[in-house]
Amino acid sequence: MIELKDTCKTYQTKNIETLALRGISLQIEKSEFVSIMGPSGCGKSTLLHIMGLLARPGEGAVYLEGEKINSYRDKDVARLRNQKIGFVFQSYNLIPDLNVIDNVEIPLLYRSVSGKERRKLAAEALEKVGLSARLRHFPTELSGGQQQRVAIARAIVGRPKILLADEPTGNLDSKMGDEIMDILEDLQQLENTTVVMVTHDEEKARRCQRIVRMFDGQLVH
Amino acid sequence: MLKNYLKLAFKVLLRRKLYTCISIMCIAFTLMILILVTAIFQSALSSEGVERNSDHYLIVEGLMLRYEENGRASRSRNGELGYGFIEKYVLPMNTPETISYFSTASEVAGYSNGARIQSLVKHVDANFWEVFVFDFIEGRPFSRLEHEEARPVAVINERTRDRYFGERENGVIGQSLFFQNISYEVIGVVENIGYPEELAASDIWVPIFATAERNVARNDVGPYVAILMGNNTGDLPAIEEEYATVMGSFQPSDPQSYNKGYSRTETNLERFARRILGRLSIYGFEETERDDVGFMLSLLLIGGILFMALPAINLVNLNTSRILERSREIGVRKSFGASAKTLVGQFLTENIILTAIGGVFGFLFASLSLYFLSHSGMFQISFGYIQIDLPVFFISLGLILFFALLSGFYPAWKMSRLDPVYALRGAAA
Amino acid sequence: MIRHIFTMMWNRKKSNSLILLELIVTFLVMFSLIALLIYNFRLFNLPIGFTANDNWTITIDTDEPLDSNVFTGLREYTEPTAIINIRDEAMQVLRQINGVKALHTINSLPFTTGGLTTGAYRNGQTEFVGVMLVSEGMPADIGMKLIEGNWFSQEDTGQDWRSAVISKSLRDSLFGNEPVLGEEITSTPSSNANLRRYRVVGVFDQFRKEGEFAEPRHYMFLRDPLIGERAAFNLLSSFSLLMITEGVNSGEFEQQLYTNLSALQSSLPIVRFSINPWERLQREHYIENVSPIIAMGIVVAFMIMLVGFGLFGVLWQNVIQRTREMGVRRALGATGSSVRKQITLEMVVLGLFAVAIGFVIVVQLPISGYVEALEWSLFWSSLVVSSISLLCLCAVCSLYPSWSATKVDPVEALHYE
Repeated sequence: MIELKDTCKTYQTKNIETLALRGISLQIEKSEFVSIMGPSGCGKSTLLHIMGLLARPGEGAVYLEGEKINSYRDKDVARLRNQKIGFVFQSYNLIPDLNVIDNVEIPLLYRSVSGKERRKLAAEALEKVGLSARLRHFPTELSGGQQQRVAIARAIVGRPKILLADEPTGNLDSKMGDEIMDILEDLQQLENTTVVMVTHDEEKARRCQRIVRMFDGQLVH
Repeated sequence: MLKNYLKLAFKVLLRRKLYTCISIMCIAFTLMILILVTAIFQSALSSEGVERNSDHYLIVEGLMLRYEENGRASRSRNGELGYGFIEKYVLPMNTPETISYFSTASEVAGYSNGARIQSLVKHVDANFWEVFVFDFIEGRPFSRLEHEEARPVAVINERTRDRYFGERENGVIGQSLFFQNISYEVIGVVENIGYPEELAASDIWVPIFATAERNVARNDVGPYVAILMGNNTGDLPAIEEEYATVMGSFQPSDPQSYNKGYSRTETNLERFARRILGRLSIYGFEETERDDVGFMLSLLLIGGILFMALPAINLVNLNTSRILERSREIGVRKSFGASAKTLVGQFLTENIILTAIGGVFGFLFASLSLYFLSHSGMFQISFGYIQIDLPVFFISLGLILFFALLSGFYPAWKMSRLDPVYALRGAAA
Repeated sequence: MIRHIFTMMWNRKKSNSLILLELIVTFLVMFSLIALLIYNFRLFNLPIGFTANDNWTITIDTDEPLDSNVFTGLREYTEPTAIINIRDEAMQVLRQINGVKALHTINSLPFTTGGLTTGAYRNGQTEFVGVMLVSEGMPADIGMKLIEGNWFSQEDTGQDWRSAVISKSLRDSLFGNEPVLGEEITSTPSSNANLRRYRVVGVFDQFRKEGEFAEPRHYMFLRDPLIGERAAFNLLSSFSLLMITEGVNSGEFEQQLYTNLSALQSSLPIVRFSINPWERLQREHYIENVSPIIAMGIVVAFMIMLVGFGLFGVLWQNVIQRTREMGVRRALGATGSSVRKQITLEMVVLGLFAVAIGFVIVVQLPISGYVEALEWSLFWSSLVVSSISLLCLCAVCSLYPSWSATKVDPVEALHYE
């Protein structure tokens, strides 16, 4: 599904050049549930961003469903992101000026989907995360767990094949965190979505099929 | 504390240079407009320049004649004063120290080298030069004797001198000026005066009797304006009262046409307020009431406020978004215990610095545009006399401060009410 | 997409209220200026019905007091000979000057307001009509176009009615489609001592004495009573002549006119001559009307520039503040250009809100009829132009901010805390 070959990434800050990834090769199969673990600053998030086509690798190649996407233009990359990949963030990143259902609709705005269809799909996605009752609420009126569920609904509304989650439970207490994990598991098992999750939490990581560990920009086996 | 405020303010302003520039520019243009308006008003109302005696004279500019039967007018005539009226009723008055009368400016055509030169001419008496204080570049005003003997002498302004005689090294005194079929001898050249002094303004001033108008009929209504000048402001009520008494005894010279006359004195301020509202004549067709200066000035004020609403809202918006950008920082500060008062103080300091810088530019722009206005010749009035002098400077300084506080108040209030938790989430908008 | 943006801007109405207010005030200011511009432009493009080239008006004022009751018929004077004599002399002097093609009498200066007005009554309807008293042949000499009947000649001599040639507008409002030639108009409905009767002998296309920037009004041309019927005219302190010239240099010619006229001997003291080429009057008319518009335009342009800068700053700050949102949108599949489109559209939508509210305010003017000149067609065209201008302003202000929004790196934006 996703394959990285000898991927390197450096960040250029004012004076220092930081090597975030040092030659990572990693293959993730279809409908796998993988977690990436490692200490802060080891490059987990960078790896996730590269898999999610948000950032381009400095060196090495990225394959999505067997296609090398290094040389794709921004526009095509945006289209791929929109159709194949869903994102969930640690801090939810909902848009405060939009209510729940409008937030969930956003990915569909960047495809040609009619307004009616958008509403329907968004309502379905919200049903899957158990928030059908709160379509008209605004993000600030929801608890952290509920906000994260809205974010998941937003990530899956376009039925992506891959769901990338960057510490989705990081801001939540463990009960809420478990609820989120349940949803992610259901997605992987019932809808065959590939889920890649970055986490700090051993316990959450153990619920995944495979754990990839990183240290200082490299995979640790 | 203040030093800290200032230091921080400069840091913050330098962080977003372009944004700061835009803010300064908006402030500068807003203040430019304010300063221009202030300067124009100041020149119009000040006791400086040509009208420096304006605080101790009264103006009589209108006379309305009516034929009234049972309190209803069947005929009415409205105009300035005629020579007959002035001779019989105004000149014999006791309370004014000096009485001057002069015609409203009229256009005349003169010719120089085959080209037509259109100028304004005013017929004035000798006292005119006492009431209005002109700066003579060359020569002198005409004397009482010259006026009475109806000598064809003329005082001209620089503009007229340049247009008739061009560049000349030896001056133009003694040159002759020909218009309305009379040849005048130039005896004085004065500085150009502009729009605010339009009561005295003209291009050429000649004695009243020097033209064909010497035969002018001794009518009640004519082309003249009278000035009743006392020694100081304290004399004005007595003059006003005497004029009212004089009008009480007034009999129209043509009793078959008119049987009543109305006229009254005005101070310079009253006249200014009336004219700026577009009422050129003191009397409408029906009303004879004294115009309420306070009302007119408040109308002006309301107009001015409406006019300034746009730039003011604009500044408030800029300030609000400047402060909301830092909602996060404010949240942090609040959560560390900074009081709303400190934050507001900090913000207002920033705002005053910005406004002060903008004010400096505003002054610059205002001076430049005054220069441009008076030299472009686009408008047929001269702005040359309007100056940014000390009073204008201080009024403008006050305006700048007022604007800084005004445009800073709403954003500061909004900021002080910012919920720190909400702000930290970055969700404030 | 558009609906999404409407929703978002609607939800943000509270935080955007001040910007909205600014846009509304801007809209009102733009509307006033544009209405003024369109109004004047339309007037300017209407034909004035005569040519100004080569025409001069010479006015001679004597010191007889001018009375506003002249021509109203309230005062009759029987001994007008003095002024007639001056006029005849002046005409003789002028005729001898080289380059003078024709001389006429005229009662009012073109490109100025003022002049005579009368009521025109017929079948229960009264219109106010400007009156020109001119000598025979004058209308044709200044290039006026006759569309029905004939110009007047001396057929009304000794009659109790006057031959009148009326403007098409007066014909249309008083007669509609009915025949007009030979019909009678009176000055008032009731027959009193001052009633005047006018018999229509012709209709001309258009005459706008007050110039290009004045509203067209009805006009009626009558034969100047100073010619022929000396007994029937009122006291005049001044008179005007129309002189049509051919191939003269105006500066020198004018000076020559002065010299020649100054030599005029007259029994009444002459106060002044004024010599006015119509072209100069026209130019002055233009300056007088265009200068205030230019002045207002400059002030408004300044204001709009200020507003433009302000909106630009606010929007830019807004984009910076919403970096994170832009990052999220990019992560969810938005391309750079769709982010750009979004920012621009947001501003335009806000502009649309302002137009909607502004419309509710300005529509009161034609409804109430408070500003007479603002009739519906002018209102709609000003509304369209000012709305488009406001939306363009919004779009232009958002050019740079929206471009800077596309430069947001999604990864950094998502880390932006």
